[in-house]
Amino acid sequence: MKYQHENDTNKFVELFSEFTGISKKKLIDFLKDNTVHNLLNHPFSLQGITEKQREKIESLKSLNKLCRNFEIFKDKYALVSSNACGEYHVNLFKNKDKESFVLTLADSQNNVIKSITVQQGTINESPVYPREIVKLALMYDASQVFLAHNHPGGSLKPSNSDIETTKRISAALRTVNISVTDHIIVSDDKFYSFAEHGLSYLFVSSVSEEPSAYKSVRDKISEAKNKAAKQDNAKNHNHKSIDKER
Amino acid sequence: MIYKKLEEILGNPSDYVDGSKDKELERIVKLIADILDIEASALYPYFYQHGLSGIIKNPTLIESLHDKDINKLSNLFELLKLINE
Repeated sequence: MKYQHENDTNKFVELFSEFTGISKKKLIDFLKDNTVHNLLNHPFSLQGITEKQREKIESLKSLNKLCRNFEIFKDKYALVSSNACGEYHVNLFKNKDKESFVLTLADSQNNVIKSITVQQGTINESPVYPREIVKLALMYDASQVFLAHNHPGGSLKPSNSDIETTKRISAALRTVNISVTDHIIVSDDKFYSFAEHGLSYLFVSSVSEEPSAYKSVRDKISEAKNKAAKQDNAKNHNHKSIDKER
Repeated sequence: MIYKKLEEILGNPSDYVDGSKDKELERIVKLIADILDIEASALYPYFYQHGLSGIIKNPTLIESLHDKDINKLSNLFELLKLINE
């Protein structure tokens, strides 16, 4: 299987199963030793599928080939302004009635690499883990990220929890030189941009409370430095004593 | 030289011969309708009006479809994106 991220594989299997009626288990087993290319071009190698399922695969293959002529899936979305970023995420959250947190990864030219839903359900109750965000940003070689979440049917105003989450994620990403460019809140077809409302300082200022994991690493580094300095002093002292004896 | 200039202004002339691009769009719409098990006639006007990329960016432009079918269409585009990644 060719996808870097497990979520993409799961999504592919789910959608392919939805449109062809082939069971997810059968697809997962097939893709353990085969590629998506095999699946589309040699559907007979998939054992035990019906004629109707094979026809659906043929239709998908033809559709894919025709769409490639139009080069539509090679289009890059450039998030060059708060407005472009807001509209992009409004479309992304359309038809989503549950609260979700989306991470949009982008290159240095603001072109979207990928948008990934990292959290579903009430954000206040189930936190978004900065560690997971850093992992995804590095995996897709992003230069910058855009954060977005929705308040279905609710207010566009950011809550204290939204602000704290933004600070924590920004601080974690700074450690690997990846910047947060904006945080968008979507409600219905409206959006609120942190950057547009002068909240960009949240992306660069320190968090009020240092996360314990970073504190622990920092303490260990400081302890090792002190130990090394003490050892150096002891060595210098020994050299001086030997010189005196001579 | 003149042809080159014309091509720059009008695009590739082969796109216009026999309306080849339109025919491709017609085949695409028919395949989409087959896969989704819906009537192609409900889709044609919207695809011609907004273009394929317009519908991909915003499937809700097809007002004749129910929410369930719009979700299916979005999922189909998502699947094609994944195939092309």
